[in-house]
Amino acid sequence: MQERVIMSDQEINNELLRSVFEHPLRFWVGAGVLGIFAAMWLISLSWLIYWGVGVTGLNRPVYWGFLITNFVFWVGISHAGTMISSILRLTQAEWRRPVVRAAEVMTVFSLGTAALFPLIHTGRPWRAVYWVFPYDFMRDVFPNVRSPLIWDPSAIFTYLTGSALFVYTALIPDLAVIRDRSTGLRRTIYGALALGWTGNTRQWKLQGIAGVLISALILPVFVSVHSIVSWDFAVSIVPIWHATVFAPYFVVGAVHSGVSAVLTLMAGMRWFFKWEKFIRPEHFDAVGRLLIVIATVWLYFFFLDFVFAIAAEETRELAVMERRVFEWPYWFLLVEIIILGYLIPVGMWLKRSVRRNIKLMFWSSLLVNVAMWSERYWLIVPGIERKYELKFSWSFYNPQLVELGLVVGSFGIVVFLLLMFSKLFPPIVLWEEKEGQRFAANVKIGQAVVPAIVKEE
Amino acid sequence: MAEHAHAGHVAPEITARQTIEDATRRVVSTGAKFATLDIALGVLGAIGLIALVLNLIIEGTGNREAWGYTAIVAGYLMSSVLSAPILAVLLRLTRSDWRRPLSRIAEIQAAAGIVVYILYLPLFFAIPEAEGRFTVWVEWPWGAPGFFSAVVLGLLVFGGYALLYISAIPDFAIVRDRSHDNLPRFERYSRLARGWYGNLRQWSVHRAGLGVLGGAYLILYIWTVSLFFWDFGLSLVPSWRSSVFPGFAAMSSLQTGLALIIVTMYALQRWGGLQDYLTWDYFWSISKLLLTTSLLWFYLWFSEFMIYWYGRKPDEINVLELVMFDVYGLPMLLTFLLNFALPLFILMWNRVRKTIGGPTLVACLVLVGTFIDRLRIFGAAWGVENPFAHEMEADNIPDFLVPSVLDILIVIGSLAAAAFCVRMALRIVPLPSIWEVSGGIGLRVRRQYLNHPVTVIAKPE
Repeated sequence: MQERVIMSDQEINNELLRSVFEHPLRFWVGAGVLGIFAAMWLISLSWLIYWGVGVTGLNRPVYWGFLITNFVFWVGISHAGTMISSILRLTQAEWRRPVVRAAEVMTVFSLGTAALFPLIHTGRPWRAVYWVFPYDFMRDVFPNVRSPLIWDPSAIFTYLTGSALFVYTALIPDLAVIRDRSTGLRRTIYGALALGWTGNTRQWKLQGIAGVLISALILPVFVSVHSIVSWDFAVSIVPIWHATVFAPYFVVGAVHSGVSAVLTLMAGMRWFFKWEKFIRPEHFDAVGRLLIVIATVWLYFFFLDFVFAIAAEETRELAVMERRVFEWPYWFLLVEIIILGYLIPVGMWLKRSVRRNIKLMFWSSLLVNVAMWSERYWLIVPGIERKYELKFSWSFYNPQLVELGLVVGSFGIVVFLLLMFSKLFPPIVLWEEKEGQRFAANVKIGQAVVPAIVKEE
Repeated sequence: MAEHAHAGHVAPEITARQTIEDATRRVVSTGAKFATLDIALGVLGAIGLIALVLNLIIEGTGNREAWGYTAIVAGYLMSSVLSAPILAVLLRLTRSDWRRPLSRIAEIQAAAGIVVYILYLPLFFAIPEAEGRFTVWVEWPWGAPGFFSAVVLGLLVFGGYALLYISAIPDFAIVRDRSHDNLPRFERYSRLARGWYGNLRQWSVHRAGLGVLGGAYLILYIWTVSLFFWDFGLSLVPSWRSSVFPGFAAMSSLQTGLALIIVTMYALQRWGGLQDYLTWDYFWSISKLLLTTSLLWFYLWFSEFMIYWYGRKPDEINVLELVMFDVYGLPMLLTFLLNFALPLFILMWNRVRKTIGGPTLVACLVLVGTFIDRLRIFGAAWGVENPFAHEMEADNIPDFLVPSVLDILIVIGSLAAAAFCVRMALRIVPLPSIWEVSGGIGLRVRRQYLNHPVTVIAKPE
């Protein structure tokens, strides 16, 4: 059932540009609180760089801990943008309209944040230059281009570039609207960004073609990014990492956490900007139904990964699985992943009344991401704590305060950047909303008037 | 090619009355039009059944190699006829408007489920016990995998028939109400319609029943395919421990089911009198799904290949030698071309997708490709001498499984028997689905929008 409120173009502009032109107190309060998190992140980073990676819990043989877990998590979140914008645009899902930009922007910011973590993880970020250039020209020591650790930055930066382009292309008509409502320096800046947009037929046609082309082109990049992240682990022969299902499992997990994060963001935007007319219960309902499918596919791959690890009955796989299933804290994480990542949220989303309850959807989507962060940790760390034929020692990993500061701070940074974006650009696409208004129709069937949609051809 | 076979042509308006006339005509007067085809299919099916029994008598169930081709054709039919109803389920769940003339075509494929079950009967006995092997039935005490596989497959086949039947109840009632001049037919369809009069309560129960049964069928199918491809394929090859494989099998089956539906759509559109219902835009819509599943097919296949090839463990390289490079290298190449490369290069063009011939051609390629893929998977698995070995050694890589005369007869007979079952179902079940097609007529209107006529679709749900 559609709950669309009929609005004129003028009303849509006025409503959605409030975030750009008005400066309410809650914006400054929000920016302040998030700024504290960002400051915490900066302090932790400075501490780490000053003292070196010795202040983290990383030590032989566990060299990948919280920071790499957080990297994988944020790459996962970045899959929301393409999932929502690209796939829903190509499938012409009508309910995509109010969430596309927020999802795309979240992709850019979360991917940027994710890309920072491997750099931080090195302890000496400036040494990342060696990923691109030879270590030592004199001795011909080059980076191994056959390593997934080299493919990773390539994939991430391609995705980041594509996503930024995606955001910008869709933003151009809205920038022109802001330009036309501004004066002085602001008008000059937005005018330059709008690239001379006047909204003639040719421009709209090109804009439409660009949208579809970028959508289609970014899809393979979208799939490849998290596949390559998964291959960082799977192409090695570390027990429990060396699994063929890792690539699709990581991608589906990423979509699960990313779309859940979009749900969180939708609820936040609706509350913060009071956009009840645009982000309606029907949108939460639709995202909820999509999430039931995504979560179930994720559970299927989770099950395959789990069962194949134990069915082979190989000693080293069983040793790690035993640790992951029965020993603290991994048994707790496993239970948490299943309960918070699937049973509770999907159990809730099965009910239509819950899917249309914004508060419940907000909290259930948060649960998913708590579980998905834990899942990354549960996948990465136990496998390298144990001894096997290529390692001569085993040990435990205890994350330190500085790592915690970086992880928690990263959430503050992403939300802070989203808030800043909303100050400069409308987080809901103006022209998508106007197009949606035009595509909405009513059809009389018998005595009833039924909401209808014009079929896009 | 039918008269409405090009893009941009707006199909003539179909009325509910015309839908009823067209759908009931086939079941009311079957005629002798396709009698020769039915007889030929029946005879070939009977020959296949005789070959199956002869194979059982001559080889028993101890010689696994003798059942390799039975496993291949059983796996192929499971991937095609039993996966086709999933499209109807998925499109109903997503409330897609374009499902309406397609859903019955998808569901009716399940009529061939009995053939799949008969083919698996000897395989349940021929498959080695689970203990000591790499199977999902880790140290299961009794009956695994044969007994449990028989139960699961039985449930799936039954579920397919139940889905077809429940979906068709309102249409059976229509045939009943139009059969007052023919008492035997009236009685037959009265029994099938089970007192359906189309009151609100009956529609409500019908909708809920289809939803629950459809959801259950979808989940059961995914698990059954995963289980069967593991138990009857992967687990027989030492060192083939590919966790993505069940997912690949499920995706490949979905692709094959879609291809089967498209080919059936073409046949019905060309020779079955449904040219007004199955217009180019339905082929256009379903071809996008076929393209998507082809891409996913490649992704899941590559995920497996990548890890094995990059990991460079000797036993994994030996598995690759068997199923991808050396022994079954040619089938792998053909499968890659037919299930991925050609569908991609043909269907990536919107102009091709907007025809009837383009998607049909790709569907035919996919059906052939999947058969070759099943030959690769099950041929490799059932040719292994010792499935209890822990690792695949270079010396133990089996040869290509060459079919015997009986194998060829079983394969041809099984495919003919499956087609025969669908043909027989077409004589009983109205096609297209009257209640879905006529229900959709009222929800679509053509309106003028600026200078263009557009289709407006009502969304009452």
